[in-house]
Amino acid sequence: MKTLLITNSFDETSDFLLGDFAPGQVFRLNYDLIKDYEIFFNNEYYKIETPFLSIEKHEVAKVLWRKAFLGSEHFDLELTKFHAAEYKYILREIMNIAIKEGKFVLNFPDADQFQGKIYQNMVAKKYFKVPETNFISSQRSIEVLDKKIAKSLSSKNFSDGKVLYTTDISGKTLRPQNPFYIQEKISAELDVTVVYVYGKIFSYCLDRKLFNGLDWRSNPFELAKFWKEYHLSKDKLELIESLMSELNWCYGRLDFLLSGDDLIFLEVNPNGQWGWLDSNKINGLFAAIRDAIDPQLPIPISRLT
Amino acid sequence: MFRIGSLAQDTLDLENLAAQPVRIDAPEGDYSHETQTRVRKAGHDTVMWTPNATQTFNFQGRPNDADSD
Repeated sequence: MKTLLITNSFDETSDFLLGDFAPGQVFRLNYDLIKDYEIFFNNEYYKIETPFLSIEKHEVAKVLWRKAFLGSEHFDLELTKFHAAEYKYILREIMNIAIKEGKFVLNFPDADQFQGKIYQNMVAKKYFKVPETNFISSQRSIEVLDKKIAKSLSSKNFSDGKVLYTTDISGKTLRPQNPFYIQEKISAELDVTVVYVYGKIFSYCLDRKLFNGLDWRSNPFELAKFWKEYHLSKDKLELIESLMSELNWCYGRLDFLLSGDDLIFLEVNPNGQWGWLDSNKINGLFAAIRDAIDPQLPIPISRLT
Repeated sequence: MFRIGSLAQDTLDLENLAAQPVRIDAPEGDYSHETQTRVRKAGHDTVMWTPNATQTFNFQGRPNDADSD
């Protein structure tokens, strides 16, 4: 039996994972290189192959949807918008079949579109402190009278490639007809991130004094090495379990701020990255993910909303 | 707290708040369907992840990353 891994060819976390499996145990299907594959479907069966490996529907023990993105500017993709959409459709059909057959691992694609950041806040406030949050799009300008930050809901880029990191807007006046996702600005000593994998919880922290500004992702590659394991108390672990149980997700990367003894909930990403948090495979996170996708091991009990 | 309908002229839209994302070179070398990994030149520093808005682009080469980090 095999695991089908749907991702892209520059996903280094997949490189990292594949190094731990025997050849052929995991079949990697890269969306950005999709034209390289032989793909055949009918109403009962599918087969996907390269000159070196193949996978057929009856061989599939597990399917993992990681990062099915198209390639970077360094790749000549030669895909039209139509081709890209058709190929993406068939990838989603593979996942739909896997979901129906109980063979998907971690989370299903775009899980956050069903339980997004605002809904997450509504659930999380039962368990954690949650920043006061607003979404405002007004026909009139809006003056921000106290300490607030703006951030992105969708994590999309602007047309010029820029992004919206978490940014202080205290005292600013906001232009009408703009979709502002706004939260109260929290003073915190640590960023805490938690990876939840089928009931196992791995927690890490980053000292916020190590970076300027509000968002560590504005310098992620330099700061990645400063994340350290962080011990969470039993009661906080139980709160995380309760939150993930209510969201009905079996995988997620949860972001918090630590202010005093309080964990302030920010968001859960149901397909969040994790590779840099256990790059030496020593703290159990790598092993938990690896075991989840190992085609020889049973599928942990899945949650599906 | 907010004051709706401010008369201030110096207003911000979201593009005023945007910043260029951190960029990292894509892994060097070609993807190998045999090993199912990208063949890297010596010295390439594996980064293990792609934060949001970094390294992902649409079919026309424009950034496109709806799946945040």
